[in-house]
Amino acid sequence: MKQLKTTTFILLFLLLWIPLLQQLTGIFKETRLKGAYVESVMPKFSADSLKTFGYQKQFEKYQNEHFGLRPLFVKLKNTLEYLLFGELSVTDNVLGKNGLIFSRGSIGRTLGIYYNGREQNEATAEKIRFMKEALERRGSHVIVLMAPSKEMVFPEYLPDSYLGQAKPANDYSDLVRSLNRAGVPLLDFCTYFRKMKDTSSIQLFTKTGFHWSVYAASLAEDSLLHFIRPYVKGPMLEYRRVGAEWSDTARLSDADFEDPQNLFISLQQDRYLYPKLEMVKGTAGRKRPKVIIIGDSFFWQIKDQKRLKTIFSPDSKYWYYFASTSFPLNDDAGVPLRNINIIEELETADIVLLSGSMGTFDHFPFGVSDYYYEHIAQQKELIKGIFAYLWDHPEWAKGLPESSRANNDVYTRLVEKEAIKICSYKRTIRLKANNGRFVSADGARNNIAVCDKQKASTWETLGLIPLGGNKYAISSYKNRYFSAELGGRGELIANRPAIRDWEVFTMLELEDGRVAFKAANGKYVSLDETSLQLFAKAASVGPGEKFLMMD
Amino acid sequence: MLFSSTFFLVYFLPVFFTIYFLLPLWLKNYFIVFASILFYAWGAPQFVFILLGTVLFNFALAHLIVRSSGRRKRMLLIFSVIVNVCLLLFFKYANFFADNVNVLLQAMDVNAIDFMRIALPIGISFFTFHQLSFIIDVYRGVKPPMKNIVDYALYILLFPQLIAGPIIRYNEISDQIEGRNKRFNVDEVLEGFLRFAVGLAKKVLIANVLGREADRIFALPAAELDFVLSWMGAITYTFQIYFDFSGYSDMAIGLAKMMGFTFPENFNHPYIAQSITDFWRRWHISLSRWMRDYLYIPLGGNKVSDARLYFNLWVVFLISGFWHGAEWTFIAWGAYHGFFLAIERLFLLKLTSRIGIFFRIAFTFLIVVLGWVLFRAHNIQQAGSFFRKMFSFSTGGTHYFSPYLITMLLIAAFFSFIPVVGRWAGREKNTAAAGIGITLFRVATIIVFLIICISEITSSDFNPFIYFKF
Repeated sequence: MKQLKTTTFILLFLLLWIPLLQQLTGIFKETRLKGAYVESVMPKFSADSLKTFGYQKQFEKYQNEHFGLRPLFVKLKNTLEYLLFGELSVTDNVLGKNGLIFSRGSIGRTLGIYYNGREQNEATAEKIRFMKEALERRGSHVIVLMAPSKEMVFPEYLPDSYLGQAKPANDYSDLVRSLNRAGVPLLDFCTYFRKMKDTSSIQLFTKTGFHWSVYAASLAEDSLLHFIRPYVKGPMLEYRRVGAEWSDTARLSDADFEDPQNLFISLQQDRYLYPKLEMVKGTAGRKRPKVIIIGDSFFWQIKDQKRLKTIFSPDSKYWYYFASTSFPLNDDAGVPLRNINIIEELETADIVLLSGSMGTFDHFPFGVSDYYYEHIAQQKELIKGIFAYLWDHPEWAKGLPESSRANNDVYTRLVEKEAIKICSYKRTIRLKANNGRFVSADGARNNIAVCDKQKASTWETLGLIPLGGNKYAISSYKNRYFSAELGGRGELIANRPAIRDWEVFTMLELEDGRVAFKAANGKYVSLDETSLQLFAKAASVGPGEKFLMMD
Repeated sequence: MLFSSTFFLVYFLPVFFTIYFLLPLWLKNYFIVFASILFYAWGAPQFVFILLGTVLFNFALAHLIVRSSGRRKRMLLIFSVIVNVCLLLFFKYANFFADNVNVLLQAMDVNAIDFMRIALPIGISFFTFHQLSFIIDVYRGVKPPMKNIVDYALYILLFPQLIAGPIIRYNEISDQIEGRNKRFNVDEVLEGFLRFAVGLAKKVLIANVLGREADRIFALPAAELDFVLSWMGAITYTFQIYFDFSGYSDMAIGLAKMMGFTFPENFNHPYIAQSITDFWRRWHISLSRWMRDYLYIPLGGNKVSDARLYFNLWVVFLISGFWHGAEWTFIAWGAYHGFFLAIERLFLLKLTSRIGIFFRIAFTFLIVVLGWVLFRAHNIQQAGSFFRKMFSFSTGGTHYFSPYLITMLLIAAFFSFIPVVGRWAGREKNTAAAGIGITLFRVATIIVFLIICISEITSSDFNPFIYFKF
């Protein structure tokens, strides 16, 4: 009896040694735990770190993550808690009815428990409107895509613990209202999916997927392409659905909630439906618009289907969360966003697509509209000049409430805001005069306007700022305004910090596609063939008063 | 190093016991001292020399005391007590005193004193009480001092009890340390291991789960608390502290048993106590006994006037509360219990003797639960607002508590109120006679508990994201 007990005891102690021996020898092959996490590293030893307990703390953390057979222990705990209590190991996940897994964060956003508040959401929509209007003047169209959440489409499957917790408003409802009011083109899949869920035979969401299903993403892609068609001049390459197939295993991220649970059992549904699409013949050579997408992981589901890379132009980009990387739409690696000229990319795109979803509306559109606004607002010298013009011409504020105009502080802020908005409409141009040379402000000669450069470079880059009607101010590359020198010879000089009457020009668009500018003295800006200087001295438009305006 | 860490369970435990069992008997004490120093130094290397210094100091002083007599002997005792208590006061309470002096100075518009914060050596409350027990027992002649300093160091440093008790009086353990002639006893080792595994499960599977909920509720602003939440917070904490502390004691007792030492029990189903007096016979028994033997009795014990007796009781519990931590909440908690002990002696015991056992237990439990609110609150103000909510009977909407939490709460309540379980957890007297069936059952229990607990511990900070690649 005693021998048997001793043997049992020895076996028990040998068992106790197994994790340590496995760590030292790696006898059994272990598979890494799934999901995304950062593993700690073995700390560097130092007397100081030992004294302050830093070394021990890090070492224990490292050891806790690296002892032998740890993945089995983690899976065991996760499986037991799931089977016994229906608890999921990823703390953001919660098990709903009928085995549907939801995201707690997304539930909170959907029900309005986590809520930015109406004021912040309206400010967000206002920034998007600002960006939309500014980019539209450059030929780029901003479109907002709102992806649905599983929680919004299938609220009836939410766990009972969320019953009665829905608040009257959420970020989504605020944004939809504000964006509609601001006239921002909106592709709202939340409403669309809710409407179709009872009639559609396809799975919009899978049981263990966070995002819309691959099938639903393909529908969203199709709707998106239809939606942007009016904004893209000319037909685009097309795909058509030729059927669907069932699969026993999930593809792409159709079960993306499953892996990080790290269970011994499978939670997935039995079968998954996948669409079959093929390119419509004869559409391959069509226009491919340049599209810049700023979006969250819902858009990744569309990108992963690999059709957009053939529909959109090769220089289209996907700025995931506008965080750190600019991804192409093909499978190539991304490049750091810091190496990209963001403003130029936005302003040269055909479409700028802002794609958000219920779980990310709290920081939608991920800072890009703020970035754009700040880019404009930092042109402080130009804005100051426009501010002076608006202050002198208060008629722009007629539509504002009387109370805003009466309060000096409020009015000042509104003038500043309007000035930033007008600055955002600034068009970057080059002016070629009749002598075939480009207009610039000659820094070496007191910034007088000359027309002597055969190639347009930095100095020849000018800003055309619309002031209403056909009135414009023209800025030099140094952000000084061109002025027809008052009391002088009508000499054009680019040295004015503010737009007053002498810095305003009336632009005439001529029949031959050229333009002419009339200064405040009523004379047209004219090229002096001898000095190659510009003067506002011509009474009518002749060849010397015509300019070719180039972007 | 926590017993409930994978570092202890996967590294320290197998390595220590393998070497320990393989060593000859005469080397075992030396090895325990060596391992205990490593154990302590790992967690608090900057204090290990203070700890060793106090061991040397008290050992030397005890030998001086035993060789002295009369006034000199008494002076040596007083000197030793003052040094030990001053060390405890300095390290544990200096910050508290300085903070409170500064509050007073600021109230009088005087500049606050700039002082350096003092770091707290781990386990100082326990090893100070152990050393005092040693010195006082030697002084009283209850036991002579150990001859070998390594044996004394083992009494103080023995890692199962070094950090969080139980508080073992010198006279209870000295013979076990010096008279190490027992051979390896597999039943005793398995019994100890089972006790350790049960304690680990109490801590990891129950206390930690309840603790997360208690932490969540006690972190809520007062405005977000309501009747249900405040009671849930108080109840979860009530069971958390019991399963946490008694779990630790079980682990300590179990580990000691595996080494061949028998520690006194520290808990005896305190939540079935029928009075607060009864509660303190069942809760942290080793502290109560220490307080009784080394503080209450020297103050006069029961052989004083009634007024003095109530005063003594109150003082003992005030000190006991303060011993738990340098915060006003602990002092208030001690005073609260002292108050109930006094009024029980005055009239309450007579009153409650008429209401029946069920109501006596329920009434005592209620007093204890309210006391834990004082103990757990961040400050007196928070305790006050917690009490107001507990008796406001107003609900702030529906609350959802997970099945996991509710299950653990029910299990905790079941094991707290059903005293049978303790006996099952390896406390049978006749261990040597345990049959093979019982042995196999014990081993299986140990394995299952260890595996589940390691799973729980190692997963506690594993929370992967779905996507993280960008």
